[in-house]
Amino acid sequence: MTPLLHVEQLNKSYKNLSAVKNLSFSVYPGDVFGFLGQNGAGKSTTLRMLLSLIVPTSGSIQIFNKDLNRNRSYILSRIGAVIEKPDLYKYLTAYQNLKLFASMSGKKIPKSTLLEQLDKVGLLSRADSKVATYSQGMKQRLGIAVALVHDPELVILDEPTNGLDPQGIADVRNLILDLSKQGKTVIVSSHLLGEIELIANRMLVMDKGVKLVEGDVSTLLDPKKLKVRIQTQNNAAAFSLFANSEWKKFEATQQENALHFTIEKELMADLLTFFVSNGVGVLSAEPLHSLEDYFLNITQKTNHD
Amino acid sequence: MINLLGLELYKIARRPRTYIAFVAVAAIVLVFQLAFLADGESYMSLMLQNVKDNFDMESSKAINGYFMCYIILNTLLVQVPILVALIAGDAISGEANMGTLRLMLTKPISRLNIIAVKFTAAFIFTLVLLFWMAIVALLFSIFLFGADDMLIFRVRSEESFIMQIAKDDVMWRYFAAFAYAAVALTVISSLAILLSVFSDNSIGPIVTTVCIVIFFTIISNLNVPVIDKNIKPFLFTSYLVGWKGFFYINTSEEGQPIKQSLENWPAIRNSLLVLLTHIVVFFSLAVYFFRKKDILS
Repeated sequence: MTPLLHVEQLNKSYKNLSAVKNLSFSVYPGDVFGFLGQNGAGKSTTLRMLLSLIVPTSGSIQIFNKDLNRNRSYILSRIGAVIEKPDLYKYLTAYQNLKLFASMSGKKIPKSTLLEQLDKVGLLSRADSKVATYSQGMKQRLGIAVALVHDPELVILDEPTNGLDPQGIADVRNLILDLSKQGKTVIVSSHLLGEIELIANRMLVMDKGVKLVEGDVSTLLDPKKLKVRIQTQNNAAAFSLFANSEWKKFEATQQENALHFTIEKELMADLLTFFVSNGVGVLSAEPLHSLEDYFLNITQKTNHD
Repeated sequence: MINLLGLELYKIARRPRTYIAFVAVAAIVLVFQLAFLADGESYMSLMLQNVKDNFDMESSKAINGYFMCYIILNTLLVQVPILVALIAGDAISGEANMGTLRLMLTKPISRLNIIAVKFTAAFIFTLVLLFWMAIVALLFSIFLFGADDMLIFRVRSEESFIMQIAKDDVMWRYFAAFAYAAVALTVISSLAILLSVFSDNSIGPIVTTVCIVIFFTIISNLNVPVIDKNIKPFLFTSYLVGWKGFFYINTSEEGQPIKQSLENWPAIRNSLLVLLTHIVVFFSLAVYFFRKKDILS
């Protein structure tokens, strides 16, 4: 399959600092591509280079099979983006902001579409309020509306859940999944690694400007292993029971209020049945953020190397 | 481009600070007009004291709308660059400060177009401001004081003298003077836009523009031969008051003013060329640096 976006040997340096080093990756049509990395890893710099906000020191960026340098306007007319916090004109209303940025996209967008877009992000009732009166979450949603109003094929979202409350985070997650269902390609960066795990099918992990890994989320994470946190009525008894059974071959640790196990996914139900059938009531069982573990693991490995 | 310009003007119009300039101009003009209404004759008597014997115009008639406008422009066109810098200095840096520059540049608009639109919008703002000045300083003064022949007080080679311009020969000079002022003020706005490219907050470019104008104006007013010869010709501030040239009228051998004449048109033309060169240089530098700028705000 031809990649929708292909980056080759991308570099960005500021005097003595290399923000991005020899970065190459591809994003395919329909991907929800997760961009992972700690603060300062080079995610935002890379995304800004994809939008021509930052001029690369060297390397090439091909989007929609065209060189970004030579076809900037054509490419940007097919991209919607929110880079970090979406800052809008505070002295204008949400509708005025949306209308203004929509007209910059090069397409004629009717009023009904603008209002529909505001409705989609839950801001229709506040369409005529000045953005100065908006909360951070509302601004974020309006920023997403601005990014999507011209129906782009590629959507780039840099830390889109920053500053949002739990409901807002869930809304953004659902929105990304909706975009994916519509066949749009989404590149999303986040430091909330669990979020990426839930929405991305492919991912790239960066650290200190360098790519650590790139590939399918399902391949990069061990699909068979699951890290799970289980709370029982009596954790000490449960741990003892576990340690003296055939389950002891699996990794387990006893934490303050719970037990942590690393087991194969399909054995999860059997483990819970094992506890219950031996008289240990299970209060809760929740999977841990395997991607976070994975990320820490891989960055630590690199640091050790 | 036209669409983008419309959006830019819309943004300027929606911004409360835009109207500071209009209120300031109106307030200053009103103070002048009220002061001259109250005690203008004393001022004029003082000015005419030395030439009373060979000048036959009544001081009450000398204070008219044309004269008032000239006095006001003499004062205001020194302050107006500050008001222009207030808007133009904010053009790019204000967007960077708000974070909207980032969002704007993710849209399919070239950086050249953005600078061109900001520049044109600042030029239109300058024109509207000058038009407002023409209304309040010229038309309103004519309404308050009437129209008559216009007196110009000049000092040349340490000699003071008065020129009289017939009232039917004045209005075109004002049109020309306002057009010249538009070019002069556009130099200020293009300098402010250039400085605005380098900053992510509005205060820096506005203050720097004003400081440069003040510093250059001081140098332009120094009467030191070496500066006169080597520095002044290259400073745009030396040409900001060139609009006065439209009120310097030629006289016949008998000393009678010649209607429709200008004392030194080549000097005015050269001043305009220098100002236009500054505009082109500042604009080109703004485009060059903005195209290379990394948007990190």
